[in-house]
Formats: sequence, structure tokens, C-alpha cells
Amino acid sequence: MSTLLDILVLGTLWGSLYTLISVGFTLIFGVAGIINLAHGAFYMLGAYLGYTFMSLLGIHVVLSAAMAIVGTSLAGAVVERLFIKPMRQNHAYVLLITLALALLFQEIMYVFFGPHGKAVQDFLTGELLLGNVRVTYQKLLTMVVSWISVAALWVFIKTTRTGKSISAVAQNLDAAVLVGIQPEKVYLLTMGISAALAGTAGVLIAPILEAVPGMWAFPLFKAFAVVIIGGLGSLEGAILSAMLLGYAETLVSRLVSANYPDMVYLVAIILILVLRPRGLMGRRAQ
Amino acid sequence: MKRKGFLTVLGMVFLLALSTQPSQAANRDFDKAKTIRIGSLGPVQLPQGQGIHNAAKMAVEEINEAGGIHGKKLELFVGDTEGKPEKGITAMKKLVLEDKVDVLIGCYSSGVALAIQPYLPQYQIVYMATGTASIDLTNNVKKEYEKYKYFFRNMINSDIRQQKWAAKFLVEFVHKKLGYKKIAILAENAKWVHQYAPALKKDLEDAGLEVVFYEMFDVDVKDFSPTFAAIRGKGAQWIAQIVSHAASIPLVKAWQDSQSAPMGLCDVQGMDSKFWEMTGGKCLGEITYNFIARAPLTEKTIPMWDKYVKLFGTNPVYTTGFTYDGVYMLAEVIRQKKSLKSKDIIDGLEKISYKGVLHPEIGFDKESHDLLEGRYVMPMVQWQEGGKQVVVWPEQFKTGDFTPPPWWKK
Repeated sequence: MSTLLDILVLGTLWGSLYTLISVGFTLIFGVAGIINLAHGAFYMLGAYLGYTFMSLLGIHVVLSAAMAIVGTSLAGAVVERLFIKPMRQNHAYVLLITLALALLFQEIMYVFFGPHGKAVQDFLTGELLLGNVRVTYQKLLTMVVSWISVAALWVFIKTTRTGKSISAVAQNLDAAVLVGIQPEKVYLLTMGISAALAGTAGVLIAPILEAVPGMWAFPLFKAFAVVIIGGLGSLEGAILSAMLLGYAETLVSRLVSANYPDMVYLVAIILILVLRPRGLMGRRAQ
Repeated sequence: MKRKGFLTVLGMVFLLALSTQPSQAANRDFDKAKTIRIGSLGPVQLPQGQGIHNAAKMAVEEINEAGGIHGKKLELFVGDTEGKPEKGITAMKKLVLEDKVDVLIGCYSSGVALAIQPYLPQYQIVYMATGTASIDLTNNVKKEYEKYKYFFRNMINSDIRQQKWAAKFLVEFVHKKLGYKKIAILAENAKWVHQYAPALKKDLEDAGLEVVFYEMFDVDVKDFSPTFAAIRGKGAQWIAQIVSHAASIPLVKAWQDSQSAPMGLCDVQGMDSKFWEMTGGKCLGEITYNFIARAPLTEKTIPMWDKYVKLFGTNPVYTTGFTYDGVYMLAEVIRQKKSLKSKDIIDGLEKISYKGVLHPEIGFDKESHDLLEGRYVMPMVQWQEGGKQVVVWPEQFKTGDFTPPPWWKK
């Protein structure tokens, strides 16, 4: 019973986090058609900014987290304006420049903070006991904030005028332009939101793991797997596959070995590409 | 035109010959040498590398202050290995060919030392490894003595010496003294652990202990929560961690969050005096063997420790003591032999019995050039309240008692 609870709790934690990371990744792909390899770097930036504000400068936890998320969002907007906008239509260029930026961010962290991980204090201390399973408040907070963030994004896109303009650009760019939507503003906003989501994940995960240069590759790999399995550009697909993968990798870690969770992803990607290439909830190519 | 072509070919052959017969300084004539050059290898960005370079600097300065070797000063040159084999080779070549050092010392990571080792016969230069644990390095000397005789290691090999010490600690202290029988072994999947972990498991089982969980995890693993949940599920009473290259901070955090059994054996990052700060105090209760501690391992240990802290503003790390003793041993042999020839240095090191900061009689096995059995101590150090590092075993070096993690009830 406690094994099942372990898997449920930890699977929900990681599934929620992967959802938060992947939704941002798939959002910018769905709207602007770009694969942003710097997405993991925004996650890393969120973690390091959180560490700097909270642990180094001693700023209040909530304010530190908010500043880190806003800072990451601004970094995303700057990257979009300076590096992506000039060559947006050139996919190879976007791939290369975003990869280069991710590596640059990593080097910057290495120079400023050193090669070793930095521990970030928990936002909340204490734990909840579910039978024999301990869930720290930090993990609970991570799950709750992840879902609130995703839900807020959903409401924003579905109900607000600005959100609907994002949806319109994603569905039909020409029609969106005809009704007066300015796509450049939408791209900028979407990149800011996407980076903010990754930054939020980084801020939340740093107290559970650590802030360390090189941490950007792990979420990027997960986000890639999630969007391939869920369906490129599909928010619903990203949420579904992130949760499924969260549970699957926890199941394997808990019952088999901590060495094999990545194998789950690779097997799932191969299966989906062979059996359902458009992903779980992707649209069929026209 | 023909003549020009011939000269070009000749020039190329000459350049090629130069590149394969590099100019170097090892084996210089002692009397003609103005200074004695020591090359220190290690990753400058990592604490283990800083521990090597700082210790070498301190030893060199002390020897020079005491008059050098027969009036000749020691000069220190630093090579940055970055902890990577290919960078290690480049750093070693730079020290040998550009800085023209007489001997090499240092290195963190067995992978790096294994990459450097085949170049030693080419340059005929003696190399004292002070931060590498794989037994393959000294097995190479044993198997092909003539080729690898230039290699010595005054660090403690992981496969036999560290493993036997670990088994002794778990049987004598954890089992016999604390009364725990169910052990979990959680080891990273790295070169230095490949023989260590299975041999430890066997030794524990032979001694009547129960190994209820055994896993060698990939060094890239970041989330240890499911692993600790599984360990708890198996009813383990003690977790023997064997970690050097893996992510220690997430490991320790997940351990504390899971409130699993006490954890103590080897966590190389956990030997770092800044580990308390790095983990935000979550290492409270963790035990790791250290290779040096502020304890009277010999009468030289505490004075050296205090001076190091004063000079560098940080505690020595595991590579520090080996490097410090290593420089003194090399200097002692060069002094005795009044020679920089590798054959003389090798002969001197094979016969040496040196009173260092880590042991009163450091010496080498003549066949493998590994540290002699019994000539080492690995104090088991626990992180206690306020970030204090307390030696809890063996008895003769204790600086305090073992304290179980706050959540743990026997």
C-alpha cells in the first residue's frame, strides 16, 4: 500500500513539474513554430535567480520567487527580440542560436556560481504524513503551484482577449492578421509566458534538488519527450503525457532501479512514433 | 626547384622529428639544475583540485623556507586537468614540455590518471598520484613494471583498501557497537566503485549482516526520492553510500526528506568543509570517511591543518594531505639521492618510510607502487549540529560521539 502511495505522490510531483515545463515549450512551438532549445536555460535561470534573491540577498521567499519568475520572463522576451525575431523563419538558425544561448547561460552560471551545486532553502518546512509516506510541504507546494500556473494559463488563453489572440495566431496566422492581431506582439508575449513557466519550475525545483550549471539539459530532454508523446503544439497532449511519464518513471525508479527512468521515455517515444506519429492528442497532418 | 622540394621535405621531417622527440627536463643533472621543478595536476575549479594545488604550494614554500634541497629552491607549476581525461593529457604535456618539470604530483579522478599514465614512460617522469583511487592504476605497474614504474600512488585505493576499511567500519561500529544488521548499499556507477561495491556486499554478508538493498545508480540521477522510499520499504537500518562524482546535494536532501535510516560511509563532496553550507544543513547526521581530519593522526596533522586553514581560509579536503605528504616525500628522495634521474627517484620512493601528516610510516609496495597495507587511516567523520565535523570512529582518533539523525529511533 505504501509503495503505491509513494508512486502516486512522487509521480504526481514529477508529472506536475514536467507539465509546467512542457506546456511552456509546446506553447511557443504551437504559436511561433519554433523549437526553443534555450527553454531548459530559463528553468536554470529561474533556479539561480531564486537562489540569488533568497539565499544570497536574504529577500523574503515569496518576493524572491516572484522576482525570479519575472526576471526569467524578461530574459525570455529579450532573447525573443534580439535573437529569434530577426531570423524566425529559419528553423535551423533558431535551433542553433537557442542552443548557443543555453550553453552561454550555463557558462555564465559556471563563472558566477562555480561548478558545484547550490542548495536553496525550502520555501515551506514540515511534512505531511500519508500513511507511511512522507510528503514535504515543499513538494506539495511544487505540485499546487504547478497546477495553479497551468490552470491560470488555460483560463488566460481561453477567456481573455489577449489570450485568445495567442490562440488565434496559433490556429491561423493569416486570419489573425486580418482581424487586426499583431503577431510580433503575440510572439513576444508568448515567449515571455513560456520562459516564466520554465522559470517557475526552476524556482520550485531548486529547493528539492539544487541549482547547478548543466541543469538545463534535463528539463529540455523531458520537455522534448513530453511534446513528442503528447503531440507537437498540443497543450492538452503535453499535460496528459507529462503526467503519464511522471508516474511511469517513478514506478520504474521505485520498483526496478533509479537507472532506468530515461529508458521509459525512449521506449515511449519509439512506440508513439511507430504507432501514432502525431502523438496522443496531436492533430493529423493535413 | 628539385632542391627546394627536397629542402621542404627535409624541413617537414625535421619538424616531425621534433614533435615526436619533445624537449623535456625530467632526468636533468641535479648539479646543473638551478631549481627543482614540480608539476601539480588537478582541476583548479573544483575543491579537490584546489586542495592539491594549495597543499603543493604550502609544502613547496615550507621546504624553500627551510633552505630548499641542498640549497636549491623548489618551483611549483600548475596544470589544470578540469577533471577530464583529454584536458589532463594536455595539462600534463604542458607541464612536461613547456614548464619542463622534474616530477609530477596530484590529479583528481582515476579516469584522468589512467589517461595520463601511458605517457609517463615516454617522458620517463615520476608521477605521484594523490587523488585517484582505482586499483587499475597500480595493477598496471604490477603487470608491466618496466613500462609503468614511474607511477606511484600515496592515496588509498578504493578497490581493496577503502573497501576493507568500509567493511571494518560497518561490521565493528555499525553492527557490533550500534547493533544494526540490515544494511542498504547505495553506490554510484563509476570506475572506482566497480570492484568496491560488490566486494563490500560480499564482506558484509560473510560477516553475518543482511544487505537488504543494493543499487549502483547512474551518476546523472538527480531524484533519489524513489530510491530512499524503496530503502525504507526494505527496512534498512543503515545506508552505506558510496558517492564521489554523483550529485551529493540532492542525495542528502532526499535522504533527510525521506527520514530514512542513518547514512554513513563515503561521500566525497560531503568531505568538503563547505558541505554544510552547500546543503543548507541537510547533511546533519551524515557520516563519511575522510582521508584527513583535524585529529592527531600523527603529531604533524593538527599543526598542518591549522596552518592550511590560516593560509587558504578553508579546511583541507581529501586530496590535501596526500599531496602535502607527496611533495615532502619526493623532496626527501631527491635530497637523499641528490639526483633528478627518474631511476634514482623510483629507487628512493620504493624504499622510503616517511612520517607524514596522514600516517607515521608511509611507504610503497615495490611491485605495484601502491600504498603499503596498514599504512593509512580513514577517520569516519559525522556532520553534527552547527556544521561541526566530528570524528566518531576509530576510537583512538575520536573527537566526539556518534549522534543519530534527529528523526531516527533505533
